[in-house]
Amino acid sequence: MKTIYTLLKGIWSQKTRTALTAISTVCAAAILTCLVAFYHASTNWMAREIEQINRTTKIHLHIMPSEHDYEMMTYSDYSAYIQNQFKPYATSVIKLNFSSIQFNPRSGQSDYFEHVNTNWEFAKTFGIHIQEGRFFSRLEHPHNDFVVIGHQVAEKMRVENPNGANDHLVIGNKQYPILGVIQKQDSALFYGRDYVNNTIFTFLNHTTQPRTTIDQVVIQVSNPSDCNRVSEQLNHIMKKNLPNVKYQIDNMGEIAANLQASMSKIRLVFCILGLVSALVAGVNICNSMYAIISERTEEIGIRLAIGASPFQVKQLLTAETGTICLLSTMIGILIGELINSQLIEQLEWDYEWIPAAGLLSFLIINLISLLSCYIPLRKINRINPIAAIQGSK
Amino acid sequence: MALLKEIRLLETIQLQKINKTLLKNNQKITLLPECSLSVKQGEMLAITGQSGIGKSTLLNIIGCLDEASVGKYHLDGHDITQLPARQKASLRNEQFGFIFQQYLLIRHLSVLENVALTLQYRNRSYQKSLEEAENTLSELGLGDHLQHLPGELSGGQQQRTSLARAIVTNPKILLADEPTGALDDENSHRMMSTLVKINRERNTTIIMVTHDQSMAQYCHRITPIDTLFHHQAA
Ligand SMILES: Nc1ncnc2c1ncn2[C@@H]1O[C@H](COP(=O)(O)OP(=O)(O)O)[C@@H](O)[C@H]1O
Ligand SMILES: [Mg+2]
Repeated sequence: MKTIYTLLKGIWSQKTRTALTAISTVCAAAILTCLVAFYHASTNWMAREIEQINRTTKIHLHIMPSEHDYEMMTYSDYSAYIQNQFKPYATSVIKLNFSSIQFNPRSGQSDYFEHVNTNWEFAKTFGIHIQEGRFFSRLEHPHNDFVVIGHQVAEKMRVENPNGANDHLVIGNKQYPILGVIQKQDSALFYGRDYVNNTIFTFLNHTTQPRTTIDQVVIQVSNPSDCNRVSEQLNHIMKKNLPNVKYQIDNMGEIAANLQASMSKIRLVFCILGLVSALVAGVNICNSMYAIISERTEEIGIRLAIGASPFQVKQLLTAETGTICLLSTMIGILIGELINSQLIEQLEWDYEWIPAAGLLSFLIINLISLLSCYIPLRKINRINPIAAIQGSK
Repeated sequence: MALLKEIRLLETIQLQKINKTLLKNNQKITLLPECSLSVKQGEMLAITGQSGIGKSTLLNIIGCLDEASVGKYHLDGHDITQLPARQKASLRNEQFGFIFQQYLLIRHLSVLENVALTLQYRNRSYQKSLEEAENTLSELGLGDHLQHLPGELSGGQQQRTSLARAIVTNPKILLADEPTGALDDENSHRMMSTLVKINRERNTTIIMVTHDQSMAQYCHRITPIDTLFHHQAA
């Protein structure tokens, strides 16, 4: 206990230096603790994500919407070219039929399309009959409890209720306010957008005929390593048999690989940042140790003269700096863990709080600080006690 | 030959034709030209001489704080002229006690801790070292100042602390560089009486450097430093 008291006196004899060293060590430890936690979290997150992708690895074939039927894939195309092609690899091949609704935010520029998928099946389960217009479900737009109707719907409403206000539309047994009516256009397809709420005005299709084209094909492969092969084969089929159809293939396997690659880059950055911060602390300690040796040359000389071995002097200075590092690392880790837990809580980040992050950064920082002490301390071996005492006069 | 060896054993310190070359203002100067000195076990010796002649340098060489440029140094019959730094440190630890002219106490440690420190470097436990240090300091009349910092003491008290630090380890050889240099008459005589007492009671070899003849009178032998140079005696 008393020895520690004497040690603290030595540390106290250079308050400013101690404070500076401590601050830099605290910062480094805090940063390192956070980074270790991030690293751990990202590793876990990525592992989960990739496992998820691998469990249900899918190839998505998106057919681009088009005005012309010969640019779409039909059911017969599907059964002829695709349905049975992937038996060896696929656990399932699914066709999806959305109603593709396109809008052109810059009217008149027909080369720019975005499209919204309306899932007819989905709409039916909600009791929405998409015959003459399509309504947003609450799930799609939770904040927009309104509908936008097409001009044909409006026309019909006016005919049925010529004297009413017609500002609501009844779907199921609920009334929805009508936000707007889309103007009639010449084109069979209509595009538009509500710029205020960033809500999409929909294409109103008054045809009641079911669609005969396929919007998307999903192939679930049984083995993730078959992803690329399936994707290539699909590409090949499309080019050969349906040359007019514009499509896009999303390969989940590739996405997983990309994810993994970019995550490793981010993790490398974490490592480098952590190392740099530890290094900065190390350099600071190293620098401070040099300064201590030259500032306390007289004291070192006295200690050597009254019988200390160079080793004992080195031991003392290491113990002093070590104590500073130890204490400030602990404070830094505490701060780091606090930041971590706050980030998790405030930002609702999806990662676990790992106490081991503190332990690891504790080890790293203290190892580096010991190494940083070692280099300047070699000087002590060469100190001549008399020169040290005289030199400081 | 055998006789010579016996004499060497009696003579705890033997310097043979040493000198010390130094760079001073970029000029090579030679101190202690062909200096030879023998000191017997239990002797109390005063070395006198004017300032700047190299008395402190000589004492530092004897105390293994410094090295002679040429010549030989035997300590208890062993040639220690060229020892590595670590072994010199352990010789300082085992054989010598120092009293410096400028006291050289560690500023941030209390009087007690300063004295106890030497004992800790000689492997005493912390508690034991404090007890022994306290005894010695009390003997030297510093019992009331144990917890003071050196800066809070007078010159005489600091010099006595320095003395306590030197003798608490019970060294075989005590080296004192102008121990009375900064003291008034009363304190000087007190210091010298203490040294004489230590020499008598513990048979400690004491080599003291001074330019004050009246202080030198306390010693068995007074050697003007220039008589050691260009040693004529065989
Ligand atoms: N390390 C050193 N470097 C250069 N000159 C020194 C050194 N040590 C002592 N001197 C010089 O050597 C001379 C003798 O010094 P010193 O032994 O202290 O003399 P004294 O103790 O007799 O007064 C002085 O002129 C001093 O300036
Ligand atoms: Mg001197």
